[in-house]
Amino acid sequence: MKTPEELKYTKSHEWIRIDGDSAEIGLTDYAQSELGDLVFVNLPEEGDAVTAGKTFADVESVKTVSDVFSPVTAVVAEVNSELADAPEKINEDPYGAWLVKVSGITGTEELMSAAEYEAFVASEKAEH
Amino acid sequence: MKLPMFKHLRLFVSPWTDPYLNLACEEELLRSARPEECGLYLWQNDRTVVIGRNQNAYRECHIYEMQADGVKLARRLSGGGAVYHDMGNLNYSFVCADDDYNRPALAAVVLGALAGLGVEASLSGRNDIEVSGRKFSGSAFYKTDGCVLHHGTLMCNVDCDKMNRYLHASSAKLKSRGVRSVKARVRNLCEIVPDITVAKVSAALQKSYADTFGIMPAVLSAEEMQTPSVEEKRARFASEEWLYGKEEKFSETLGFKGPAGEIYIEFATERGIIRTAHIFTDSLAVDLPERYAPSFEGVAYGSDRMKELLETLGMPEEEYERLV
Repeated sequence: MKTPEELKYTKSHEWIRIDGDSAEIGLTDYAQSELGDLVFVNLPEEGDAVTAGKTFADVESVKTVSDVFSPVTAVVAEVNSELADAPEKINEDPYGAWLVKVSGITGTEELMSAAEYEAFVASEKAEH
Repeated sequence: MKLPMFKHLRLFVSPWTDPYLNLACEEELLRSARPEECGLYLWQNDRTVVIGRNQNAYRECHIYEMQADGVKLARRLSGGGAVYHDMGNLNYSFVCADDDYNRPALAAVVLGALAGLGVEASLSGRNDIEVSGRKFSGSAFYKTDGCVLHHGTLMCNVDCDKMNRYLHASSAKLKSRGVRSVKARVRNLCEIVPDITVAKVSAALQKSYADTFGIMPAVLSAEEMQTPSVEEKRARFASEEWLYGKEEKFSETLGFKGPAGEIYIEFATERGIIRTAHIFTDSLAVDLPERYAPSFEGVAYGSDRMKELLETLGMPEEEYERLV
């Protein structure tokens, strides 16, 4: 399982790459491996507001729809429309396949570092 | 198989046959799932095509035939393909917290109920239940906010002619976005056990549920489910935006070989009505595109009129069945 050092993470398995007050958001390597092959991605639209801890997108693997939660509160600046035709990119390159770019971010207090996220995933695995 | 440690079971049997109200009750039960508790919800929709969360309604079913026959369209929360429900079908839904979720244990409740009725069924692939290679139960899943919905259909005595009339069984598309349905060979349980009824399957499921986990479920009443929160959810499930999506325009490309040559047509549609058609062809009849393209405008996508127009252009009938 890959967890790049420079990213922040959530308990619902999203990653965020923060650059000033903008950021890219995607699904972690662990999330994509647990979900299995993705067949569809339902993304928000440019200009939509997203709220930390609330759903902003969903992804579908074999008959399972899973909601994706926003790591921060912000506004969607750009949507990765390539994913509409190629959701498998999330499986192939989870940290390259960002879902949305957002700007004006707040609410970053709950985010975890790579080491904290790895420990969190390890504790989740131990429970099951 | 390790059984989840449920301490409480809930049970709700819907007295309604309205798909939007039934789906609203399902979501309400899902979102109120508590740790160490499992909910079983049994429900029936009268004549309804239910599509998966990320499907295009116009591509998956024959909306015009459905409207003419008074068949409803509904979209569920979970993924997967389109199914046809009538009163010969029973739906079951399990809801629980993500941490307690155990797919094999819940599937065992269903298999146990069927075994009690004399049906030796098995799981097939990841999601289906079948008897000797013929599927009579499909299931699908939705995860949100720490809760899981695991639900499925049980075909007891569904009108399969109607099912085939309303569902698109297309296999090929040049361009498509959204999740496509996969056609499966289906059968009704009444072909295996002639005197089976929805009521018997419902009773068997309730018994198997209590037996599997060794707990008597708390039964919810219809009154308890008639809340403003359920009514709000019902309105959303019945809304045009939920059924047809925020993206009302989509384009389709059809290609076929007619007597005049190869023809490709790009259709831009809006709410199922063709707005523009662009025809490309290697035919020597160079005026063919401008002569025929305008006649598609305003025609319902997938309608008999569209079929007539395509036949005028030389599309073989079986191609239409395959492509549209």
